[in-house]
Amino acid sequence: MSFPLLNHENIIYLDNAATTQKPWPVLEAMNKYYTMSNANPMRGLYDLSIRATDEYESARETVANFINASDASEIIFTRNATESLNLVAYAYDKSSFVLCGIGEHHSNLLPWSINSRCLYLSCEKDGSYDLNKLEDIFKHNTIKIFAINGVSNVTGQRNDIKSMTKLAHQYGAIIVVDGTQMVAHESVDVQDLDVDFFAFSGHKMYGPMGIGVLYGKKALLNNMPPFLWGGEMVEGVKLNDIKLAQVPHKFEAGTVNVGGAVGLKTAIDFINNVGFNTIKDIETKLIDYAFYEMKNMPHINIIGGNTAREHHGIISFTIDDVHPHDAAEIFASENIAIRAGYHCAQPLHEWLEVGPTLRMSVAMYNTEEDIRRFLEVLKKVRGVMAIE
Amino acid sequence: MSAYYNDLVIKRNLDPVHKIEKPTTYLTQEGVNAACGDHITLSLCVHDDVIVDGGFVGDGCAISQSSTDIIIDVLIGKTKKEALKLYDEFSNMINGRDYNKNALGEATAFEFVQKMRGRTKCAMLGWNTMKKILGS
Repeated sequence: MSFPLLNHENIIYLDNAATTQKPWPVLEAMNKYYTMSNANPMRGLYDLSIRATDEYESARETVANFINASDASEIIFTRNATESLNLVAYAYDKSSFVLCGIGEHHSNLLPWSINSRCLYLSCEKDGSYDLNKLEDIFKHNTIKIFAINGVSNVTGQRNDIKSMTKLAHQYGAIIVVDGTQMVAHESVDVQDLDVDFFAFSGHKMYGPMGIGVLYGKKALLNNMPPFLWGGEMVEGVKLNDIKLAQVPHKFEAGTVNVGGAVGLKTAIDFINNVGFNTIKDIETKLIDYAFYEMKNMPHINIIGGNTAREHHGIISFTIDDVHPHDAAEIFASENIAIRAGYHCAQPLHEWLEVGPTLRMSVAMYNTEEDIRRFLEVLKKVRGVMAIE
Repeated sequence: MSAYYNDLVIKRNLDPVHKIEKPTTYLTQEGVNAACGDHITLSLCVHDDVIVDGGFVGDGCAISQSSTDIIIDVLIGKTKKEALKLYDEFSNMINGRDYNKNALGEATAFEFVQKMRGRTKCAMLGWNTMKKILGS
């Protein structure tokens, strides 16, 4: 596959839950945009500016189709999932009681805990959530917003978003889904899921950094005040009268990231060309291989589910008697990139009563040989640290 | 050993000499690297401006724990001023600048960290905590 960084950098890259590498078409499309079509979009009357606007709006269409939004105006471009989630936390009714999954990435936890009154939904030891517990909380509290991820960035556990959405709606709450760890691995249909808001980042799905998406139901977006104020998000400004632009532009203050949107559009085209069936096939095989080997290794403790199928592209783990940073350093010196720490989900680690962990995460370009090398180094970590 | 840690670091991580809780009369500060979870509580006993004893408790990576253990060796017998001077020497070493090799003694075992830029804060944790105790 055409991922230039992987061709010239001697690395086994298994930190894909943090960011993915970029395929040639994405890099070429961004280069082409800046070479051939760059102008400030939306305002110029000259051809170049109109072309930049067209490229940007065409990217919005592509994103809408990608997650099956009913209308492109329900797609708001942001910097990343963090900004998307902050947008909702700041602009949706702040007096609401929020229920937040304990397993959330800080980006879908802190914006709520800072802005609103927040309750936390605890997960089971395998990182999954019990829908009965969820219903109990809805029954006994007036929750207005439920914030939850589609797939955990630590355990790789996939949440039953459709059932969770049904429950939330049944008790009069909206659901805000952090879909960041889903979108590169499986197709998402926001209408079928019936979610109210859905956020993700471009850079974790083969697109560039600096572009993210917030999907929101039109009726909700229409009723929300702007998140940021400035150029482009107004139709007219008098000193005593401001007329706001329509959704989605109301939420896109300032000059937008056209180059990033073009890159994201191309990343989506790239994913669609490969196809989610193929992607899933590749990634499932790799996770199966890694999981069962790790499960049979002494002194390796996998965080989360007890079967490979509960680990969607992600395996977090600890090694007895070795601090994750020391282990990650040993992997690094063998040119294997994995992650160590809390993965921006410290409350989950605390709840599961584990310290920092190691995390390996796969993408479509990883190979069996990558996993074989990873396992080979994993086997010798304790020995290198003079344990055993 | 350039690829991994050296023997002294490995040894002092597994068998620390000063990982002992000290009396509450000692000057004590906590040191934390929040992102990775390294955590120490460092205690120093200072008499007539000279560090006469020290100890620590904590959890963390081999570099943070062994570095703190070795620092205590280096610090015992030094005045506050000398200790703070050693802080600068260690910091220079870790960051690849010129430094006084003789003054740092066994702490030179961490010279390799200058090639591991992500680990500077691990090696500095004990030193930064010492500075919190002595610096003010």
